[in-house]
Amino acid sequence: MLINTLLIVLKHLLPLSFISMFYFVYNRQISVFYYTLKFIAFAVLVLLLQTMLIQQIQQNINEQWLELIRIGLYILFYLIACYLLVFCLRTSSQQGSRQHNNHKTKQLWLYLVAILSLIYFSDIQLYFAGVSAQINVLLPFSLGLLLGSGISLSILILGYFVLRSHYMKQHFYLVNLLFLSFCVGQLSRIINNLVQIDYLQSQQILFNSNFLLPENSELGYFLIAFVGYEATPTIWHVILYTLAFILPLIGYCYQQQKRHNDVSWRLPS
Amino acid sequence: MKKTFYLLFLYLLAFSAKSERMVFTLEIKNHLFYPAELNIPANQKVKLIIINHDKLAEQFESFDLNREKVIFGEARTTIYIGPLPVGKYYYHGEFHANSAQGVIHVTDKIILRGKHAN
Repeated sequence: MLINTLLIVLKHLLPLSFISMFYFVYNRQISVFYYTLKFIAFAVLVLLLQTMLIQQIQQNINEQWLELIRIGLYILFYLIACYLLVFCLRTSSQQGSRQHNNHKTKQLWLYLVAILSLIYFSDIQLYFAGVSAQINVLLPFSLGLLLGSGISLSILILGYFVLRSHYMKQHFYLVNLLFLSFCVGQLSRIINNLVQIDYLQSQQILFNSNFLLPENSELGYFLIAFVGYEATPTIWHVILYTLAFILPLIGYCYQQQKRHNDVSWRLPS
Repeated sequence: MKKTFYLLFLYLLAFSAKSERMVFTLEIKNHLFYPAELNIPANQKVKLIIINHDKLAEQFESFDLNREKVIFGEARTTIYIGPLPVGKYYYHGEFHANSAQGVIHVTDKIILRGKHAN
């Protein structure tokens, strides 16, 4: 029970740790304290709402619709993250910090937290509900929960300091690329969901890297949460990864070009 | 442009059309899968219905099959697996991993009994 709880907690808390890590890397200011409270409040509110509504959801919403809603949430998460990357986040030392510290940007970060909380808390809440009904496993469950939360928090803090140091050295592209990798990793989960409900045709596995890095190893869990690691990818995964990486880059280039044209129009000849 | 989107939509619809599939059933009782070993045909996509007789939710998970689905208490769910080459594919119930375990044998020969394959 302890190991099982630890693995489940890690699996569901790690993505939330990563989004929190990126949030703190990009938004380190005095005023972030207010938004941090909002950040935590959003996640807790989502958890409470799900706990209250889980019975109604189970009875009234078809399970296939639930899968489609989950897929829609992943897509929405990716789109908001792309918007942030292209229009709001800092990509060069010439850009001022105003751009990525305004109210709209912080609201978008909160939406990202809310979406991931909806997705991951939905499963973990079901597990908690099951365990709470069994008194004799409360101790190993509590230990597993504490350990899992502690490990997730440690990864958040360590990752924050590493990324923040790169951010302060103006390695914006590295930090943005890692953030994009995380978002693409979340989006890639829709492939297995779509195949599972027969909305997408299954394809042959391209290769199997389980002998190098098994998905159910510790590093495998970490990489699944961070970049959506897939040991047995199909052509759909390759297509989605490629497109999901290229589209924000195209958007960013277009944005830069537009900005350059605006500036050159204003400059006297 | 509209015509292109319409054609693309039709293409995707046809591509993902759910043709008649063999149906297999797994049941969860007291955090155990029944049957613990299931045989399905090779190189065919099959429909797997998982019925959870317990009051608590369970999560069907398999790294080998790349499948992960929560089944609410006293509810059922449907997932599609395959086409798979011959071999053994392990799965487990994530919420009760110590007890809820099973294996799917993908074989060339499957004996049909009535409408459902198992």
